Amino acid sequence: MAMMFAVCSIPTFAAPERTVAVVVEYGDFFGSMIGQSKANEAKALAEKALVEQLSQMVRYFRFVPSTQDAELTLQFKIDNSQVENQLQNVTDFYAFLTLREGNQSRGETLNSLFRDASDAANGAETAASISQTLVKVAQSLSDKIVEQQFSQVSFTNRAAFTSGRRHGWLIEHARNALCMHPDTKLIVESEIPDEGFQENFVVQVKRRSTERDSISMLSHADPQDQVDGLTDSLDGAKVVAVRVSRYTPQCEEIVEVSPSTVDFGTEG
Amino acid sequence: MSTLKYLAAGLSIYFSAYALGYEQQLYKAVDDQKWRKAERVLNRAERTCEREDKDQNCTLKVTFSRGWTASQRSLSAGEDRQRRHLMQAKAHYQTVLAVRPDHQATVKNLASVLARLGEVDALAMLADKADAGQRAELFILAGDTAFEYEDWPSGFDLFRQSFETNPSKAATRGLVTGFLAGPNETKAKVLAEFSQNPTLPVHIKRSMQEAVIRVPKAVDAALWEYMLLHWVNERALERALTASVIKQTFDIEGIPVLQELVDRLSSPTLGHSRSLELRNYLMHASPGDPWWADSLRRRQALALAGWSTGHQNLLSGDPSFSNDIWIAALFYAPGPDDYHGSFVEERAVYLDILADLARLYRQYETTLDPNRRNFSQVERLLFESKSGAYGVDDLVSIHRHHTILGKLYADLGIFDRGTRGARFQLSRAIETGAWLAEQRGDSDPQPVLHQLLGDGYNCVYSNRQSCRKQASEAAEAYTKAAEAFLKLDDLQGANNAMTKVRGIDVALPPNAAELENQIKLERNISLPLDGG
Repeated sequence: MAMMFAVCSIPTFAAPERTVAVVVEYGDFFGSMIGQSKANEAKALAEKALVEQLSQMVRYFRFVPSTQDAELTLQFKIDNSQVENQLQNVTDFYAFLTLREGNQSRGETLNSLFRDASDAANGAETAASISQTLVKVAQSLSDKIVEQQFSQVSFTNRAAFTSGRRHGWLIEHARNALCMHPDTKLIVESEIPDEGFQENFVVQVKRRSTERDSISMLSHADPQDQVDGLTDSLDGAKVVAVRVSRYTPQCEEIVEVSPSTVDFGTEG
Repeated sequence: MSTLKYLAAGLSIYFSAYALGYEQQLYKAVDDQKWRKAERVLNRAERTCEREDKDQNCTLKVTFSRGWTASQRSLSAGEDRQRRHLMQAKAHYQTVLAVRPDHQATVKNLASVLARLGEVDALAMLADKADAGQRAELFILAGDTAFEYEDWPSGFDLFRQSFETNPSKAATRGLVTGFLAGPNETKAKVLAEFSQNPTLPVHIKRSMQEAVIRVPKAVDAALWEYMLLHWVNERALERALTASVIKQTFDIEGIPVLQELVDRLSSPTLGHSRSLELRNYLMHASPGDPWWADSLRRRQALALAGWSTGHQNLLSGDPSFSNDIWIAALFYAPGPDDYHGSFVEERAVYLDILADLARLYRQYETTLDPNRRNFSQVERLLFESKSGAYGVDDLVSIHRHHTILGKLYADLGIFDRGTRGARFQLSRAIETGAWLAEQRGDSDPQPVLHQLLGDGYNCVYSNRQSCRKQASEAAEAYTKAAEAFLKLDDLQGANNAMTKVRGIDVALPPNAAELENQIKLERNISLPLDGG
């Protein structure tokens, strides 16, 4: 059986191509409960903290606060649980997470408890506590954010099918820049427009090898048979999207240091 | 200075410059794979060093460069020669470390070479000596190398050492992989111990719990149950546990206990021939069902799971299912008398379920409680439970009951109705909370309870029924709320409460001006408030 792989090529694009703006919003009741100034302060603080948290969790997108433009937005909205409920004196609050590409929602909206009404007797919310709770929500939902939301959007289309000693896709990014551990699973959407060929290939990183500063990914494609169409029409084939359906972040910290960066006179 | 001296100084500068600048020539030779040329560059650099190098720095750098060059050469060599070049690189790096054992760049490069040679033991020893900055990463590299050779026990142990240095997700991934490749009691205990760290991020703790839960037959039953119940409790308290979450996380077919839980959460009427109704006997029946009803801790977890599932169904607009699952959860929840001894700190889930059922019946009265009998039943059960707490003089439980009842009645807009109203229950909650704080020797300001009391006096409950405004009592309660907020450094809360006091047409309480001054003072050293 032929081995399929996705490989990062040189030259590479070190930084992620696509940017996700993190937006913290409040439902009317929560917003009025904490007041405008605290709401603004908490929004700025929480977006900064979430950008940091998400940047650690997912390296193939770049995260920015809502003050910067981006084609993708991940909204964290704190709202009371009972949408039509008139019972508002004491209520639970949830964080609802929605990913949008332009105006379109991508994937399902996720939710996680933000504040339990029964814990609220002494629960004075501060900007810091709101920020910390949202970071915990992001941590708690980390796998779901990747598998159910980010898996719906492409992180690149700078990739091409290649046939040779190994069949596979050449992705124009350094793997260590995207910090993809071999457990990571990609979905490559390939097509040959003239032939009406269109398939999604599940590509799992299986093994890595070091070659200077680039890292290759060796993967199986499933199903194998459908790749035949691509090998027959290499020139016409193109990659429409590459999505990540499972992600284990791990950067290659242990890369050999070259001599010019080393100083024995000062280094301990 | 003589001409000779000038010449000597000039040569010295030239040689030093060469020794410092040979790298570019070396890189060019390496890029072109001209290995003899690379060797010549290094030899020349070494000769230059010998003339000037009093403290060995220059020579060490050339030796380091030799290691790096050999390592680069191995990348383009055939399999048979690759190992030879790597061994050369290893020898050069070891020579450097013999002189400078703490040189971290050399440690890093040697680690990379050892990983490619598959020398796990040597790599582990190197990691053990590395500085804090790269120790954890080196153990991960060693662990991954062990895994490449399918040495799961060594790999697990190396990831354990990495985790002890830095509890990262990468180290967790290795621990989980190493455990699942060869699960046993010892490894499960390591995961259990790590997962107990209260500062651990929730997703890291959870992946350890899930790893152990996946292999019930490989670990001791008590340990497995411990990990399972913690996982269920913690996910349920996040209100994130449902049958589908369990199915997405585990292959439940091979784990009957999880299959039973999924069945129970999917079909609350399981085991009952008709729809569930809120009846007294349900609360006191002795459940004779399998695993999940077999002990107090399991029943607590089961009830929490049902409570969480009910909330998720409410979010998705299915209050009828929420009703069924909460009644079923109530059936299994430990009762008021069970919260003693080691169980005293556990969350009284039956109270949460009762309070949520009361809200549900009020909100969906026409469909779920048309004759209001269910609401009355829930109210009666809450009061019976509260009486039980008074009967054994359990102040923690007494306070908990008054708080839940007070907030429930405030939520329902019922203020002045004796013991069955927010005024009485909130006042008692504040009072018993103060006693409790005194007993514990700490402070418990309870600003939200004061504020809810003020809202009741002020007739501003959103669901209020007939209401008689009591202005001075409202102003006093809001002022106490402001005081309590200030004690918690919540300036906005305090400011909001004082704004409400100002909004009431009544003489200000005596300490109101002092409080406002304090808010202003603290506002000046904090962020500006909007007055809202």
